[in-house]
Amino acid sequence: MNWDSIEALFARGRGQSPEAREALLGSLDPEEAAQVRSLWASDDETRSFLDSSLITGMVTGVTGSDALSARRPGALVAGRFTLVERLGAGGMGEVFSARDETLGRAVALKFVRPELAASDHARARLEREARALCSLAHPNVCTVHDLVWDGPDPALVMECLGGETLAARLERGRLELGELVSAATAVLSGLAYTHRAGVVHRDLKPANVMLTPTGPKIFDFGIASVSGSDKAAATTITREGRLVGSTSYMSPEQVNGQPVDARSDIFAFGCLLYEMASGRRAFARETELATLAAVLESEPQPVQELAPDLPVGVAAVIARCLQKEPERRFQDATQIDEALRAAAASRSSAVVERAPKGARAWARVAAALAGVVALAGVVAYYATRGSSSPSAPSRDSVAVLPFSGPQGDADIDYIADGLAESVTNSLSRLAGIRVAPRSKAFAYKGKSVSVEDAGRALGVKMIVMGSVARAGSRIRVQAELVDVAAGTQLWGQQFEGGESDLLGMQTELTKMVSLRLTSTTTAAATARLQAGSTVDPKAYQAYLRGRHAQFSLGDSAKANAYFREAMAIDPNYALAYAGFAISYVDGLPAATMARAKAAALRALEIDPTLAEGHLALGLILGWYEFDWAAAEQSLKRALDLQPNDALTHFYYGWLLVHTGRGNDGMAQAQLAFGLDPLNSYIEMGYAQMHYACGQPRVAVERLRSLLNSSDYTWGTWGLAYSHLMLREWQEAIRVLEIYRRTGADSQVTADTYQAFAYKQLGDAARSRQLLNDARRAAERLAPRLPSVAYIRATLAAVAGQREDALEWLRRAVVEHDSAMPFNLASVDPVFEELRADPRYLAITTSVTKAGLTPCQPPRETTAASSQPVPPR
Amino acid sequence: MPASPRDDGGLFAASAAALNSNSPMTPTPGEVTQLLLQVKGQQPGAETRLLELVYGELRKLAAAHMRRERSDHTLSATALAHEAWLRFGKDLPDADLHSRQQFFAVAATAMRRILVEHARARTAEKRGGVAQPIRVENLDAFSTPDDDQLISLDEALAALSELRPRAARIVELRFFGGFSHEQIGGLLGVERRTVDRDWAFARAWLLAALRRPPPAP
Repeated sequence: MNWDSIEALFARGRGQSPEAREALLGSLDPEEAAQVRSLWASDDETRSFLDSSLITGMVTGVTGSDALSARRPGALVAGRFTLVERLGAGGMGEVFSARDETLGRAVALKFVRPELAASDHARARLEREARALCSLAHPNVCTVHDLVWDGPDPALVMECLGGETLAARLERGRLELGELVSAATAVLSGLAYTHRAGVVHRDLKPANVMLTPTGPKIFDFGIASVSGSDKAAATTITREGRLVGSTSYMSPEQVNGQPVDARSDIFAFGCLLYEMASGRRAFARETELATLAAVLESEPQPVQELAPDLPVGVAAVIARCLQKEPERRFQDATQIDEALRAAAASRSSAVVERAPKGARAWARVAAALAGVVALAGVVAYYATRGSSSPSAPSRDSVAVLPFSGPQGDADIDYIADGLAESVTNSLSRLAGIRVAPRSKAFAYKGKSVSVEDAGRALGVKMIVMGSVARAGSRIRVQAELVDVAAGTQLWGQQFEGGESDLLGMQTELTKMVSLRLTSTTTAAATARLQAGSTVDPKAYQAYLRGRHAQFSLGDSAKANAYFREAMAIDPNYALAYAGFAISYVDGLPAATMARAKAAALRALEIDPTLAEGHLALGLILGWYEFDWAAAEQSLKRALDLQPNDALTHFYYGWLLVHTGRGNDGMAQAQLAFGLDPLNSYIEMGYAQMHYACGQPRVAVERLRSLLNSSDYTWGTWGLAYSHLMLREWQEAIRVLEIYRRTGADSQVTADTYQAFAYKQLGDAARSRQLLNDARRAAERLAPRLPSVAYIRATLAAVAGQREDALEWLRRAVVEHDSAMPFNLASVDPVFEELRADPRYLAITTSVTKAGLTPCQPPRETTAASSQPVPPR
Repeated sequence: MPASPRDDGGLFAASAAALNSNSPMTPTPGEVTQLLLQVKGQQPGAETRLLELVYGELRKLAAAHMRRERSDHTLSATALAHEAWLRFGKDLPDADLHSRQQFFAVAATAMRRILVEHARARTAEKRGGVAQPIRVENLDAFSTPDDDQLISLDEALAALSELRPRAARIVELRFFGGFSHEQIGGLLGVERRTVDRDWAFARAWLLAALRRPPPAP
């Protein structure tokens, strides 16, 4: 048989009249004609055959099936209800508006999926659930009147709701604050009520909230499970193998198929609130699967970015609802209601203040504090300028142990970290005081330890310890200074104040400690305590936020925004300028580098002794202007002013690597790592330095173990680079695939270097295809970056266009493309074929001499050489 | 009543035990990712190996499910796919939609094999190995097919794939994999219209085939 013509005829005759079909068949072979007729007959008979997949919601997200559409308006159900109109159908069943002929009222009839009543067990469960639903009576909950049977099919009789759903409302855009609060509190009232009654909704979403003339009502409790009575039924994946719930609003525990309770509804409510405030779903990706993954693993885009005028307290409420672990969310709806009302009310006072941006930053802190307060660990540690032996306590040596507080709240981690940093930085400016490394003191975080043990272990004479707690709307910081040997308290004080007093408390605390530490406290020393600082608590808070974003989260863009905020609030806040400059250098190469340099210079103008200012300037001079000699001077000056700053040592180390002094560079980085071993930013950078110094195998090992235990995804770039250096093409391709998702701008690099790897593997077609992708991506990037010359150079090199590659490299130097040092142009594997070309060497070594020969790890060197390593 | 080993999972429990004993088929998440990349790079043999891995894993998951759900042995296809995905899919780059779909395309084939094996095992238990002809009156029940229906469908699909392989693959992807026509078009590199047409044909053909009396043994 000719199946091509059979198929074609079948397609043409679908839905046609018998006459038309026969005309089509014409002179076809009788056997084939019979086949086509049989196909038409089957086609006519049913359109629902095989329609619904055995797997639902995984790939398509389409759950409903047409199988239920047998019911028609006009039909009489259970001898009493006349169907009026089909309102909708979903995974859980079909809903009709109907008339109750006995009572003469309008109702809604929801036909539950017949599977839910397929067995005695299921029927019993359904009836139990229906009973629970019928017993609910609350103005914000749709009333369920009865459970009736249409033959074998169960149907819930419900209050007929007029109005539009919240989902329909949201299609017109986000809600204004007043509207949002009134809708949200109504929903919360309904939720609190049903939860008290032991009913969990499990599918709360905008489509299940009706905005009626008398206020919002929650409906569609159809899959609600009566808590406690049936554990197995309380999981998301039902016996029938369906994923219950709408993926965008599922809680992580629902996605994982674990038992759910009221706190799942609280997560869903957080999604709802997010969407009301922003007009966007908190978790929505291109496919269901990606959405599920996002629910499990990703944080939603900060709601403030989408709704800049949203009171920060409200944003904090949302964030708390959306915590991945149920324990960390609000535990009941009433709590949310209180927090939400308070947050909305506090808005008016925030508006009265003159600096709205600062007020917002500050209120964010306040909101975070208003949650659960745990200033878990604040530790500072400072090494002296002279003595380096921690085992011999000097007269003025101190360790700051982590402050204790209520357990675990990531939201205020940055306050803890930030306070520690501020205290550290202030104290480290005092001459003659040795402070235990912050990293070592951090080891005591969350542990109880005797003062004596801690003092001995840390090699210090005195210890600062304390606690943070929340008393009503106020914060209480208890701090003391203890003499380790004598075990006596030298000083102790309790500070208490509103959130806006945190800065004052920190300053006072530092001052009191330093007064007792240094017998020779001078006016000059006190002045140094204050160096670069601000008197504005909002500016201070924004600065802390920025530091946290930069060094704990590795998010330069966010850090940059915070620093800018701090600068706006206090235009004389030198530290903020320095931070701003650093975040530019360390982030993407930015067109605004000139602004960063201006900021650094401005910081030094305000305070010429500000180490951070010199650091920032050094970074710009080196990594942007390629003036490594000037950069070195700046970094050395910064180290003079703050000899134990891990970050400065770290960057200085890289400067040495870039200028051909790999051994010294490694030593500096190792020093930085030793000063602050808990700083994963430095650790990652130290690991990466190994490949720059000709030890890609070591880099691979270190990076692998780091990536396993850290969120620092950018380390994948170094890993991929190392594999390329090792000519491990498959592995490089695999890692680049992971690197690709670390950011929108990673694609072009991932494509290019994958293209290079495929070329090495002999897969020319694949390589070409990736190169084309990369070219397109580069075109898209070009308007946003100050220079894409280096990218174009790599593209040309992989494409085998030698002269073009050289020309683009030249342009990269002229255009200050910071990818030159960052990508270690002189050893970049994609330039393999250019390596012998003296022109390539001339260009790249004019910028950086990185790792031209393998370096030894520092511990294996006897005397660190400061001679530049000659080019290979 | 104490449960017999069979009640605890029948065929699946047994095969899972075999698989668990140092099975070379036990995949690691990284291996799956790697294979997906190779499939994408059109490396020969990668897809077969991937199918083996996903199949082996789904079987194990199935066995675990059967042990948990004692009262009726309904395999939760969605739950299985979901678990398999959570196990392997996390490793996949977010942006790589293609690999993700590739995974489910392979899972669709694996799922078909597993469900049919399972159905055959139970049918054999009940009726001494003879599958009954499908009851075509109740087509809607195919959203949750019973054992006989599944076995018949599997055989009809096998016959269809001799004639029109693409149409049969589309049924597999849609029915066992949960793909939409758009997605299938993307996977197979054909236009959505083509998928629609093939689908209509396959459905009519399968229905006609299922109606015919089974060939005499």
